[in-house]
Amino acid sequence: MNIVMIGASTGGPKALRSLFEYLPRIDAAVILIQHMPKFLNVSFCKALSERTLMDVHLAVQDQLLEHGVVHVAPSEYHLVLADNRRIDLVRGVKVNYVCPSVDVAMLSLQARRDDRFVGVVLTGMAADGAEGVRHIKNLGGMAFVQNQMTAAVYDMPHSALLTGAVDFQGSPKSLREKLVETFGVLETTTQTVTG
Amino acid sequence: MSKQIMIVDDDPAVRYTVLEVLRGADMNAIAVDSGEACLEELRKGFHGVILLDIMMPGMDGWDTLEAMKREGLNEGNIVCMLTAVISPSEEMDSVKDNVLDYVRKPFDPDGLIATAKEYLSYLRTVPDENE
Repeated sequence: MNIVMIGASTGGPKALRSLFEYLPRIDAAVILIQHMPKFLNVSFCKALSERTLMDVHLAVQDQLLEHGVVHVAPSEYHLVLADNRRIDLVRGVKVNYVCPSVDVAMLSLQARRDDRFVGVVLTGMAADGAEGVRHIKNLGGMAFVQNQMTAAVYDMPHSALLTGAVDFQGSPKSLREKLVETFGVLETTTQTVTG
Repeated sequence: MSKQIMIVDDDPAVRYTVLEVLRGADMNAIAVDSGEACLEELRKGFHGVILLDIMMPGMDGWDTLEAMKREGLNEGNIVCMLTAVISPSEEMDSVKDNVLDYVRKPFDPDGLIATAKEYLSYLRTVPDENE
């Protein structure tokens, strides 16, 4: 199983729009944690699904990860993975002042033979995601962050960078290219991008 | 009340410029000069995207956001903070999940219009609980 975990906060919707624009169905399951008010969950997923060929869903309890699918963490629940395969949504206290927390999601990844991980930290305040990418790096995965020039708020990417665990930093567009390069594209019979 | 945009800034030049830019793009926008006036508009039923200046005398942007949360006035509204400050302060930690974006001054008019349109489109697709 290939797993990409993307964390974003303030300024995230615009960065994600750019990252997902024309993103093909990569050969990985994507977990997306965007800090946002709960009432925006559905419209956020809808807007994202219009950008990419990947299937975009609001994550639900016990859902199994699937390559080519973006699983968006719902507000007010921490998203953790059981055995790197099954989604568990947990009501809990805020971590790093937020729920869902990027760190909580990333720290739930476990070393497992043949699993490959990438953690991505985009724009946002404070340091959510920093411990998470350190963990992913310790598991043998890779960490990418958004660069200062394109981040509305550089705190989160910078905090991740300071861990020394980051392999690459760049614009959302270059992060998209990096994900495609890392995991490749799922074969499909029809891939048409419009817009 | 229709979904629209509210600019909250104590600087009349900023209010004037933002209104000109947004109305020039056929968007329905209003402007107020303080956090207190913002809260009053919300109590009267404003619903939409709030462009909230951080540095204001008296009740600043963070105070305004805290007050919105206390009264539940943030529900259903998108808040974008406006600032010329390079990096947000730690004051924002407790309210950051209520702030969707962070817009730097001075504004790029095209960027401002794109931001406003994008977040208004989010509100248009929010499922209406009364439907």
